[in-house]
Amino acid sequence: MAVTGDLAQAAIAIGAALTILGTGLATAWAEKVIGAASVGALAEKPELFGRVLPLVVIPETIIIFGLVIAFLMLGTLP
Amino acid sequence: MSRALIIGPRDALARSVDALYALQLLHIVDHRQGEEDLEIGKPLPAATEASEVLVKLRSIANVLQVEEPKATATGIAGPESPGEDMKAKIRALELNISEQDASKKKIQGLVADLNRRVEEITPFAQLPLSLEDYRGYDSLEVFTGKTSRDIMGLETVTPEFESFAVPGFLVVFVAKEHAGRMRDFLAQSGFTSVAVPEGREPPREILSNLLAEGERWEKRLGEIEETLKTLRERYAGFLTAARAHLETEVEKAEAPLRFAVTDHTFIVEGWIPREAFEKAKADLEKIDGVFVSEIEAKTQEEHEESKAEPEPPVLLRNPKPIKPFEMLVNMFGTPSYHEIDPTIVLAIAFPMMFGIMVGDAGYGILWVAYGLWLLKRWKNRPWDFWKNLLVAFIWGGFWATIFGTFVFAEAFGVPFHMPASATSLAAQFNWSDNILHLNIPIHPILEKLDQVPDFIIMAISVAALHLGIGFIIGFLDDIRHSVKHALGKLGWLSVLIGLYVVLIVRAARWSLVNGAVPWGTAIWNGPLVWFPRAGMPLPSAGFAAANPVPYVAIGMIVGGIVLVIATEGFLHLMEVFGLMANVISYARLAGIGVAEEAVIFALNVIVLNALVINQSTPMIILGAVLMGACNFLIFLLSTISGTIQSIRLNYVEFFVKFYKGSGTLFRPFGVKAKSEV
Repeated sequence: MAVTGDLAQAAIAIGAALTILGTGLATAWAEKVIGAASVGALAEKPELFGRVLPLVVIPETIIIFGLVIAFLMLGTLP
Repeated sequence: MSRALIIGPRDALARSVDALYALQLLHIVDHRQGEEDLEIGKPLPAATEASEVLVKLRSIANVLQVEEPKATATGIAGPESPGEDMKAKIRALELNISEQDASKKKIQGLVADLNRRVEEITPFAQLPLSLEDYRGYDSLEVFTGKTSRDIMGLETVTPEFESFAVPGFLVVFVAKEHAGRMRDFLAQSGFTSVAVPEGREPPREILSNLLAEGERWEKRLGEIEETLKTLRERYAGFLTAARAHLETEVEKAEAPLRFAVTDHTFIVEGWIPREAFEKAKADLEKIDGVFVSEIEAKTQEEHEESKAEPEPPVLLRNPKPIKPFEMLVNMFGTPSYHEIDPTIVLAIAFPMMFGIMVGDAGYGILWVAYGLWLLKRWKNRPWDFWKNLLVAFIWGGFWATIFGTFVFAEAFGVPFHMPASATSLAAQFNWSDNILHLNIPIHPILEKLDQVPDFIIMAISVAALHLGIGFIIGFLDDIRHSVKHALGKLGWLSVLIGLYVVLIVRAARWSLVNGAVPWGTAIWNGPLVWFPRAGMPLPSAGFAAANPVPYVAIGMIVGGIVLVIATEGFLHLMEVFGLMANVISYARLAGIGVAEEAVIFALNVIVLNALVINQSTPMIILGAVLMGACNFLIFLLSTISGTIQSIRLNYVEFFVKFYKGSGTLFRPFGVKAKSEV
């Protein structure tokens, strides 16, 4: 379903950009909180590294969703 | 694992401990005080002395700053002739060193005191007055102190004063009747009062005396430190070896604390690998009166009933090339005795995902070559965190080479062939035409930058495969003790397959890129061609009459959900969305792959345009160096993100589906604990 009209296309492109922007910020914010807590935990118990690392990268899924949605949106452009 | 019970007379205790230590086969189950009305044993007589000497030794090592020895898997051999001689030597050394250390500390205190006095006297030494001049006036008040800046306008307080100043220090003599106002003024100007030091001599003389004394003590301190250094050089080896020996001795001597004892016998309980049981039994029964018996292992059902029964420890056995991946599994949790060891799946999935994300033949070959070289250099290094990780990277490099060559057809960010979409000269730069001048017979199956949707489809296919394996392992784990839970896993598998088919059907409708067949269509008409096509059109969600949502897929999702609710409970309905998120989460494989390719492509194009195309030879050389540097940067970045993302997919998405990791690692008595990160 290709979209025609300059304005509509521009809106889609901006929408895709906003998706990345929003999910990127959300990921950064979530990782900031978890990261700070993890460093605190690691200072106490360095052997927790294996448990902490996946926790820190869990929010990265958010921006992956953003990426997929952005590509789906861009896919509707001619 | 066989559960072993070792019983023997108490006078054979020491010899039995020695034998057990040498065997390195028994994972001791600690006996608790009073359990089954049996006391725990007392440490062997050697323990007290050995621990005492060990404490002395540690204090010596601390003073001499001898490094803690690295623990190895097999333990460290003691010195050639240990025993009384070694202990006497340590005691003598301790006496000598503690004396040296005490005088060192005393002198350090003295020097600190001298320094403080020097600091006090220094400003007075700069003034032309003797210390006597500051004291003993009836009508004058003397202010001496530090100033943070030059104090101006003393005359505004009173004209009857005299002052002496050096930078940062001020002395004011003022008549008693004006003293109060002068004090206030000075306090407001940032003046901190300093007491006049004791003494009669001119301050300059006192200062030089103090400095000379300080120098003498510093020299003495240097001598002591020299002595300690000589001692360190001479005894470091001895101390390390002696410590290893003593630690062994203490561990042996304290072992009876983990045994049960009666008045005349001792009892040890523990686990021995089944195939080594006979050998251990034979070895131990050589000692007079010692008797080893195997306790009947409980069956699965009995085990389920008696939760209090300790689980056997787990000894992971994997072929050597994938053994390093046990480290990654243990980092999450050791598999329990009744669980399938997921190491082999991890050993394939982890490096493979790493390979997809890095996806570059150049970086792959670099990792394999560098890794193998480093592995050769680390031949004698114990298998610690880094060495295990290195092997994981070598595997990752191998898969990156495979994917980079046969799927993405590129090396160091430069494609094998000119990309179809390339317009500028720099973007057209490729291995076949510009560097090797021969036609590489491999064409890309997937061009990262042009086929992002296809890449995402590939990632989601990996997700279906990976998670599917997870559910199957979960099914095999559960079927042994609970058919209900196993059916739940089948339900999840059914939901997963249904979900995957729906996604692929939807993706099969994506528009064609460069006339090529989209991956969605290719998979739908290729590997999934057997799937029944009849279905329900859903135009608003993009499922037209030409590609309806297959009824069978809907059935699998609904049926799976029903099965999950029936076996695991209603709350797990929410998990369906979790599973969906997990599947989409694998799109990171494409995300990272594309992002890295985009960055290296951009860097390559910039350098090519600026320094290489239509430029003189020196510029081209500079350009090549710069391109090398850029590639190195991306090489590092892709390694880091590839590792973290790949481990995350395995831990968070994969392991959570089936793996509990609640086991204890088999640690036989006599094997030193390995330090793990």
